[in-house]
Amino acid sequence: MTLLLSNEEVDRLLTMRECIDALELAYRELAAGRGTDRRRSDSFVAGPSAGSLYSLKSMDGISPAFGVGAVRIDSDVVTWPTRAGKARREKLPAAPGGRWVGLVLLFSIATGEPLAILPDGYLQRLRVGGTNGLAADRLARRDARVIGLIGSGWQAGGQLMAICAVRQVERIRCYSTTAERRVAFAREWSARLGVDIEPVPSPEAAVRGADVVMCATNTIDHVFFERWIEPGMHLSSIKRPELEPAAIRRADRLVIHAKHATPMHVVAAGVEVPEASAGKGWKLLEEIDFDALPELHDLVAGTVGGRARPEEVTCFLNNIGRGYQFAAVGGALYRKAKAAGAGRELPTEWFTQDVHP
Amino acid sequence: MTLLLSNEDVLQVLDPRACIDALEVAFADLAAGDAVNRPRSHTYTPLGDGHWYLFKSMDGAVPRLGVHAIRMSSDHTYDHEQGGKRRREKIPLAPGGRYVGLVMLFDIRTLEPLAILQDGELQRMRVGCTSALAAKHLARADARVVGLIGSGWQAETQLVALAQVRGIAEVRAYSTSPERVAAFSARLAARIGRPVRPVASARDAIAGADIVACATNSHDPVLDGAWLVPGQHVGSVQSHELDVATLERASVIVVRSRDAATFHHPPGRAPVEAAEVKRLDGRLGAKVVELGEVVSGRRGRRTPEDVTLFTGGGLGASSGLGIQFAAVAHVVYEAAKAQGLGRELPTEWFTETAKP
Repeated sequence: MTLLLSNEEVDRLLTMRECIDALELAYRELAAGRGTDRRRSDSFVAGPSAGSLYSLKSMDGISPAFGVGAVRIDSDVVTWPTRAGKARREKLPAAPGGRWVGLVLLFSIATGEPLAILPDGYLQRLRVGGTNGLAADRLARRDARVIGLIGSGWQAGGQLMAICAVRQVERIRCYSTTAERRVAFAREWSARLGVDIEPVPSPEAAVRGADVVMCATNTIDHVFFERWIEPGMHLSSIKRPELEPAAIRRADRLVIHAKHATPMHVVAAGVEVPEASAGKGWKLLEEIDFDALPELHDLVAGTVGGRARPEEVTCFLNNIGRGYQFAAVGGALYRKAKAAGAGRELPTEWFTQDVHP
Repeated sequence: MTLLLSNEDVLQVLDPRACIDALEVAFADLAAGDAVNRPRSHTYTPLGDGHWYLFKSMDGAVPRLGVHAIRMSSDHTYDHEQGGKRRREKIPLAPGGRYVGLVMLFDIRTLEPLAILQDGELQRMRVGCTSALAAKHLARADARVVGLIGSGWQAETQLVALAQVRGIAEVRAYSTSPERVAAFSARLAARIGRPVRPVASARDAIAGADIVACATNSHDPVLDGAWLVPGQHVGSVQSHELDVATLERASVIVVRSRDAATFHHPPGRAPVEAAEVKRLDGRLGAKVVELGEVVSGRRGRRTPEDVTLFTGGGLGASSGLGIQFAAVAHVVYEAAKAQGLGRELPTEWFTETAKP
C-alpha cells in the first residue's frame, strides 16, 4: 500500500525534535559520503497574470540510512511584489479552492515502490526549521535565551519551533513588514510555543540584545546588516539574500548549508526571473566564495568545530535546500506513520506497472 | 479531479496523429524559447554487488498546451557482465514484480495535477511519434517505401506513427531473429493495413527504401552508411545504431535538443554533474540541428537528393525530454477525460492550504 498523508497528519506525527534527530543522522551519512542529493531545478514560463511566472520546482535525494529516495515537486505561480521597500518572492494560491500545490513522493530504495505521497507544506517547514535548529545547536551560545526574529510567514514559525527545541528560550521579539501580520503571528506562536513573543516595529528592535537572530523571510533583498551585530550573537538565515555580505564577513565562524549554491534555472525566452536578476536574490552574495566554506554536514560530523568562545559571532546560512533532506525527514515521518497506522492507504499498483519503458 | 491513468487506459485512447501534432507544437515552441525543458537527472546509490537504486527525472512545460509534466522512474538496476558485454538490467522489485515509472501532468494556470499516468505506453508513443514528426518534415513528400530494422515494441510504434505522416506502400522489415520478424510483419501488416515483408538482411531492408527506420536496442551499428542512396531519410531511436559513415553521409543530423542529455548525481559529499552526450566536432558538428528548427521550417531537407538523419536518442543513449511527456500526456489526458476513462482522485489530496 502507498500512504497518502495530509499536512495535519505530518503535524501530528513528526515533532521538531524528531526532525532534527533525523537530519543529524542524515548529515552524518552525507559526511560519510553515502547520501545522494540532486540540486534543485526551477523551470519558468510566463504565468497566468501580469508579472507572474509559472514555476515547476523539483529536487530529489536518497538516504540509505532511511532506505528512502524522495522527490519534492512544486507547481507554483510566483510573483515578486515589493513591500516596505523590499522585493520578495510570493507564491499565489492559484489552485482550485485557493490552494497551493507542493508534493513529496517517497520511494523505497529496496523495491522502488512509492511508499508515500504527501503535501510538502508542513514537512518543508520542519526540514528548514530543523536544519537551522541543528546548526544553532552547535553555533549558538549554550545559555542563549533571547531570540530576535525577522519575518512572520510560514517559515518563521518553523524557525521558532527549532530554536525552542535546542535552547531554553525565554523571550522572542518579532519584526515583519506588516504590523497586523506580526501581531497575529506573535499571538499564534506565543500560544503554540508557550514563550512570550513581542511584535516590534523595526528590525533593530527585534535584534538588539538578541542571543540568536533568525531571519525567516521571502526576501530577495538584504534584511539584516552588519551594524546590528553584537558580540556572542548567532546569526541564522534561511535564504541567501537575507544577510548583507559585510554581516557574513563579520562572523568569526561561518557555516553554509550546501556548496552548489544556486538552483538550475531553465527559463523561457523573454521571461525575466526577478530573483535571478542583477542585485537581487541569487545574484546577491556573489562575492562570497561558497565553495570555500564549510557545510552543515562538516559541522555535524565534527570535521569543523562549533562555537568555541562566548563572544564569538557565529553564522549559519541555509543558502539552498537539498532534495536529500526530504529523503531523511520523509523517511522518519514514514516510519512514524506506519507505526501509528496513519494516512490513507492507496493501492501501490496504481503507481507501478508491468512494463519497463 | 485528478485522473489516475494506467497503461491500459493510455492504450485505449492513444491517438498517434494527435500525439504527433502535440509534439510538433512542443518542438516548435522549444525552438522559439516558449517551451522549456529541464534535462534528465539520475540520482543513485549503490546497494552492493552491482545492484543500484536509481531515481530518474526530467520535466518540461509547453505553455501553448497549458501544461507542465514531470516524468519519474524509481528503478532497481543490476550491472553485470554477460558474454563479455556490460549490461544494465532493470529488476521489477515493486510488489507483484512491477516497475515504477510515472508522469505527473500539471495545469500551468491552475497549478493542479491534472493526471498521474503510468509511463510505459506514453514512453513508447513519444519515441515513435517523435520519429514520425521528424520524418514528416525530413522525408521526401513522395516517400512510400519503409525499410525497418528491428522488430520489438519500438519498431511497432515506429511503423504505426510513420503511417500517419506518409502514404506507405510497403514496409521491408529485418531483425536478427527471423521468427520474430515474421510474426511482427504479419501483425503489423494487419495493424497498419499495408504490406509488411520480412527480408533477410538489413541491407535488403534499406535497398529501395525512402525511409529507413532503425528501432533496436543494439549497442553496435545496425547499418552501413555506404548502403544509403540519395534522397533517403534515416530515423534512429538511439545513436549506437548508427555508424560514422551514416553521420558522414547525412546532409543534416537532426537531434531533439542540443542540451546536455543527463546530469548524474552519485552519492558523496560533493555531488557532481556530468553531461553525457557525444560531441560532434568540425564538419559533422556543423550539420547538427534541432528538431524544433526543422519543424519551424528553418532547417531540413534542401533537395530531393539529400540524405536526412534524425537521431531520436540525441547523440548519446536514448532519453526522453520533459516536453515530449508533457505533449503526449496532455493528448492522453484530454482524450481520457472526454471518454470518461481512468480513476478520478480528489485533487485536494494533492493540493494544500499551507504555503510551502
